[in-house]
Amino acid sequence: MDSILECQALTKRFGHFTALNQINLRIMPGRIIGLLGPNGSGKTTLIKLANGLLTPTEGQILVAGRKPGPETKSIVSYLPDKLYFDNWMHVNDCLKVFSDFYTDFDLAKAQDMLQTLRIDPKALFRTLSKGTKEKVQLALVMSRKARLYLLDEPIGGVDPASRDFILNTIITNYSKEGTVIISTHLIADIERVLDDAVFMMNGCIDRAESVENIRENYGKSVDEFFREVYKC
Amino acid sequence: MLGKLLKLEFKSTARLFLLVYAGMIGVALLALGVRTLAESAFPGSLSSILLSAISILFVLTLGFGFIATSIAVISRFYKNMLGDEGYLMFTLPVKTSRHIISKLITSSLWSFLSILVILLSIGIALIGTNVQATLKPFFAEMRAFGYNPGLYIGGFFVILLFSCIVGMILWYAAISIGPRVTHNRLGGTIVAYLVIYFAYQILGVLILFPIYGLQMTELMDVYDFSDPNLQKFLLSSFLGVILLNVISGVVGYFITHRMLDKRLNLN
Repeated sequence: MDSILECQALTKRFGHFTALNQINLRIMPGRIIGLLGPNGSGKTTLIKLANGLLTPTEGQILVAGRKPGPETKSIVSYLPDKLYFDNWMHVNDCLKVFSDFYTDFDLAKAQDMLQTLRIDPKALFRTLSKGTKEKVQLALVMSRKARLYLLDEPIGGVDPASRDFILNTIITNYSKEGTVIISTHLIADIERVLDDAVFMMNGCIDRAESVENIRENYGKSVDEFFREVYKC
Repeated sequence: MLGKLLKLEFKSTARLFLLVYAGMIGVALLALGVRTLAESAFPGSLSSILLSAISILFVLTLGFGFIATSIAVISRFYKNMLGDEGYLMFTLPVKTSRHIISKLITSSLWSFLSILVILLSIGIALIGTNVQATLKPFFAEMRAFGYNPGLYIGGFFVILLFSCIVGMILWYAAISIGPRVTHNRLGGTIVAYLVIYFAYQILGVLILFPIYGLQMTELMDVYDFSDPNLQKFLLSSFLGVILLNVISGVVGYFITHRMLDKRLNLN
């Protein structure tokens, strides 16, 4: 089976700082993967490289066998850890942008999700709270029938009650043929939804295995395992 | 996709620029009203004070309109492509060239429009004065020596449009290079622009000196339509400026595309 995401000796340096160091990784389709690691371990850098927002220093990253470009962007649904809509936009304008540019965007599904979240489509994006803005972006990203979802810290900035809601939104809305990669350092909150875990540390992939294996082989939850192995 | 990007660009920028242009025309109408009123209703020094005040307001408004437009289109490119909004723009399934072209079309058009609005505002403010009477003999003299004033005014606007496009693309090139200086992106952008602008000036001298250097003092100090060399000089100047702008535009576009397509680093 062809991988949906592949890194080959992938290195990214910012000046003298090495954010990613000789990473080799293959992610197969149809899995929910946790990209886990402490702050500064290279998770966001890896996701940005997959989206073509950064350029590798060495090696390469392939999405469905291609280097990041318009073709890969049409099959990747990306939730960054930034708020990226312009201040003049109403929520309806945000829907229109997705609807115009992504052929796999399901407008009715997005409208349903916004209704469930009680977000007024006529509201001005800049007047929403930070958490609500994040929910709008999540609703849009999860309303695409993508082959790869790259979610960067989707639960990082929200309260514990909202975390469950966001995770349920992800689990119930992603395209079942698709792959979901969720980056986070809040492992306990997300491990119930994961099939596999990729542990990152100091810009390297330290371990990549199924959540089932971790529980069976080490008799620990992923969170407990992470805390024990990667404690400072 | 280019059409969709253009639609998004115009929608994002129109409200600001239309407001600025409406303000400029509004002040021009006010200037016209005040001048008419001052000349007819107020005598002597009060009239001069009013005219001076409205003239200062008028000039400041036009200057502000032009500078605000220039700053807004340049900062729009930076914010939309290399700020947080870039996380959306660069993950749309669109080629980098389409992004640059859509931005270039809209920003050049707004810059060009701002100049047209300035000229229109001046035209409005001067209604009822004897400017037309001053220009008429000038154009008549041009026609008498076989010049077509319409052609030359058209040529002036073509050069203006080219200059707006190239002015933008040189800024785009600087903005796309600037963030390579990760610890001071703004400083990097300004230094990059100064270097690019210096190179543009050098190229300008290389292209235009052979035209201007030999003939300018003779022909342009005191224009004389009866001199048969003047038309040749004007045409070669026009082509020289177009050539300068085409070369600079192509190089600027290539740099911008290269930096955003192959060396993008959104931080």
